[in-house]
Amino acid sequence: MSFRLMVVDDSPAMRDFIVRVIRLSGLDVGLCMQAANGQEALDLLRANWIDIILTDINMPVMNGEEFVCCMKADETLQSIPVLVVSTDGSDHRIQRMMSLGAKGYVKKPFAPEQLRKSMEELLGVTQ
Amino acid sequence: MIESAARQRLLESAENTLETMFFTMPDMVSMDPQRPAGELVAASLTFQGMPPGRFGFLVSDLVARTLAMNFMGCEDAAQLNSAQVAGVMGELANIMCGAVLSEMESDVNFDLSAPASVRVGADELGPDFSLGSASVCRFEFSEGALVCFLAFEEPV
Repeated sequence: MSFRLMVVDDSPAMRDFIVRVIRLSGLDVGLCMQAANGQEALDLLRANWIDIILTDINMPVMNGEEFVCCMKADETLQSIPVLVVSTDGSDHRIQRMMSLGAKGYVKKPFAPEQLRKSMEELLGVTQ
Repeated sequence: MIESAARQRLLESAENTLETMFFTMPDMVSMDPQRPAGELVAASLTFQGMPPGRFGFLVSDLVARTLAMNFMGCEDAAQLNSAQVAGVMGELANIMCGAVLSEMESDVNFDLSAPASVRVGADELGPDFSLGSASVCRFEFSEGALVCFLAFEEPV
């Protein structure tokens, strides 16, 4: 079964990079949706079923913290696992995002295999 | 934190970023702050934290194109325009700076500004990132060089 994912980041180059390395990693990925901020992501999520979300934190309009909070407050979205992918790797930020409801955290820079491993953990994929 | 430690973190974080997400290893590393020759791309951002400061780099145009091609999975340089290269250089600045601050300030929050990147002609003055006792690391490649600067507003 192919997984359906969404990448939320205000940088188109970073979104494309993430999608590319996930596809190259061999993970069975089907639909890859992209959103430039949390609000765009919420709008897309109301019309599309997604298995996992990868989100940045620092974004205009709606940042990653607000996005995770909105997801957790929405009964139809709260079960979708969120993996934070951010340049901010401070302990404080990681704890903050996990306490809000994120299920995983990958610091940039990351190797493609790191991203795959974190996604597999959240998706329950066994090697 | 003493300046040599900041320089070491800068070196390690920048090198790790180049290797893991830009699939590039430099031929040589030094602390030479001299501006690379020829046309350049300059990328920079500021950060708020404890303490605040700024990060920037100057990179040879050909090196910038190679890094952008690697990041975007593009095999033909002709497919890349200047705006795309500048955008990827902004991402590189963002990732490098975030990485070094995460290492140095793991117990406090920091906020990065949006990165800005500009092209600098071979005869243009360009920005001077070396002001204010900046830590420097320089990466040499066959096509040119990338010189990174990190400076805090207060002594570290």
